[in-house]
Amino acid sequence: MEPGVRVACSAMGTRFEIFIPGESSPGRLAAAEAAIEEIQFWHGRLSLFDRASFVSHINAHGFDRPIRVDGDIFELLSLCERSRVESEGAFDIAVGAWMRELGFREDAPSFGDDPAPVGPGFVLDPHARTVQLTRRGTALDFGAVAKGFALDRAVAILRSASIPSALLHGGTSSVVAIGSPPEAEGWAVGLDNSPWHVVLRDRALGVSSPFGRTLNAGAGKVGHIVDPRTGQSTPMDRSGVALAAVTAESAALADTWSTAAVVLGRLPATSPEGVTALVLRNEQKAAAWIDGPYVDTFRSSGEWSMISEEGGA
Amino acid sequence: MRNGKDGAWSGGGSSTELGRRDFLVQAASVVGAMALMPDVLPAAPVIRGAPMRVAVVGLGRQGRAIIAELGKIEATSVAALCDSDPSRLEAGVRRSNGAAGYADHRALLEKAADFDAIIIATPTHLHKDIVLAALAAGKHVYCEAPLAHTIEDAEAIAKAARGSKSIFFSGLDARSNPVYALARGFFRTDAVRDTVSLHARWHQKNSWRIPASEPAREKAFNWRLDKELSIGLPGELGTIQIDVFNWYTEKLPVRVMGAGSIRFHKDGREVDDTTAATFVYPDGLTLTLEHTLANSYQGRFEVLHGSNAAIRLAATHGWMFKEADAPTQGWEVYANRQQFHRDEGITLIAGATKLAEQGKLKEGVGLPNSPLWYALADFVRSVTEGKPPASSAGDGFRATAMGILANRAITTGSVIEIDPKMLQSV
Repeated sequence: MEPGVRVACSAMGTRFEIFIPGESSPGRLAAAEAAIEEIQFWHGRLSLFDRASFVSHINAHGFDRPIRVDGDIFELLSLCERSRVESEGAFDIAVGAWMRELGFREDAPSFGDDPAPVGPGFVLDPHARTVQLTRRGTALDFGAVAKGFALDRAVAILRSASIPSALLHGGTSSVVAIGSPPEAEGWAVGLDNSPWHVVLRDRALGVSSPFGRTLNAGAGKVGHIVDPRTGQSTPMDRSGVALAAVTAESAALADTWSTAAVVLGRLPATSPEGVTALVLRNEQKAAAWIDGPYVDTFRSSGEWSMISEEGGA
Repeated sequence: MRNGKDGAWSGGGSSTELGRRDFLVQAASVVGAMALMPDVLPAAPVIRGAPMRVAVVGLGRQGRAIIAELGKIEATSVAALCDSDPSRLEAGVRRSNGAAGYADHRALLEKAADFDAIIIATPTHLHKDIVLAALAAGKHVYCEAPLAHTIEDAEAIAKAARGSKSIFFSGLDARSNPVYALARGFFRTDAVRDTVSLHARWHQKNSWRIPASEPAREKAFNWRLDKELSIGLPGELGTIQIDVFNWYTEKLPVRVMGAGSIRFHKDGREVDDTTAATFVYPDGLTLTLEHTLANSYQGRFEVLHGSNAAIRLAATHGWMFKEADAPTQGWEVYANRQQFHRDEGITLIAGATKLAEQGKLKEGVGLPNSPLWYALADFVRSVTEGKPPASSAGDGFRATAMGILANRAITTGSVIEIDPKMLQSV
């Protein structure tokens, strides 16, 4: 077993893990535990499945009146709204009712007989620091960004405890690297079932795929990523994206834009600087995701590389 | 005040002053009406005029949790924050909606006109000075449990609270918890029949160590691992669990014994990471407390075993496991159930009658708010509506003293005789 501190927890429907390489000490363990506790704290606040969560509070009362929020939640909501605008609606957290219609969120509110939504599902008041839902039945669903946001908060805990190097992930689809492991330029992270890998150093990776969670619907299999502009699940046939891997300065940004990239099939020019993407298409099976028309990179400038068949990079 | 042979008591400032016979008569009529049980699912406190302005002292994990829950209680606004650690204070103020920040509770209390009530979530051994100063300043006080790290300090707090016109609320959240209130109704109506044994367990896997941004603050942050200040697992974790049994049984023990050791965190600490303690009541009934920081299996729960049924409580959930030969109530046909290996538990659902009418009984499993939310909402109602505190200073004193005595029995390896009069002194 390699030296270091390794802690884990179950949260947000997946397993989070933190690894701090090097010397194991009570102080380092305490820092890792505090970071895990931070993730659990945000699980409690952002879970759509927990009636006691703050999100449930917003969804229950946010149409009737503005809901005051603290600085952290306001920051998260602002990031989500900015990403909605920049992605031209391809990323939107006001998709709870759509997710219910697709069968992924049985307990989410419903639009009912109202027409399909247009425009923002919530408005923010920065002076009063409140959020208000624009339509009855709108349900905020942070599922596409919560893991990354929680990881960013955990990173802040580790940095404040002067941890120079660590790797954190939530369900392996949201990853953040602090510094680099001993005697390496960064943390090498590979994409499952593909030869592609990226080296992270003080950077985050978010991976989204409609195949991550699927349901068998009447018309066939549907994936869990919804296009907020149409209410439809992103296509799983040859026309769709199999996987989008995005790197960014924060895990919340990486998560946000990996979801948007699956919906759009690309990383738009309106995305923030410093966000890069690798998009793998459905047109070929994973073994052929090597190059050519099936793989697109956006702003990556050689960030992604392939591991050769011999196993070397 | 009554002090019966079985250790039962009433009065003494306890919020559980309803006589057992009266309660039986009242509760029997409820069950007889075929209700699932009383609908005890309170809504949020109502805003009457301006929100109640609150100051929170201590911005560690519990203080932060309190602030997060207050954010859902719109009848409150957090007006001031206080912590001696600059990074915690800065983070707290940044998250808040314009709260003033103070590094010292004395400086905070100099601005006492800026807030109506104070919530104290500092390290346990720092509670007393802040409570006494806050009460002297005429502020309403919510103090986290345990109230103090010594019986003398806990007594001083409770006596000051009893002598004050301000509301004092001990942070014993079970007394505000609708699931616990519902289960208590069953317990008090003899649904479990003869009480056989009482158990509490809280298993976690963590070191109990807090990382400090500066080495100089390490000792102050890790007061729970300082054997001079810490009241150990039975005190820090056990106090709120002990109170559940005090509230349910209205009995007090006469003896406590226990043992503890460091099973896993062999990092130089002197405070046990695994403990077990047993209280003994005058009639031979026992309450066992088991706590560890080395394994999280089954987490936190309290169990009351009776000859007809067992009640298991786990913060947001509760179940009743009936013996096969126990009488069946009519409502049980409609009850929601959950399987635990070979045992089938009836899920105790707060507000079940209303939910059943709506055909939503299953959706009621678990609480719609956290136990902490209910305690804070109760405190707000006490201040704004004059409602008696769900957990009084006396309740806080008794549970705190019992936790301290359990820890003392473990650390000294001795059997400690308990004078019930001491526990009822406030």
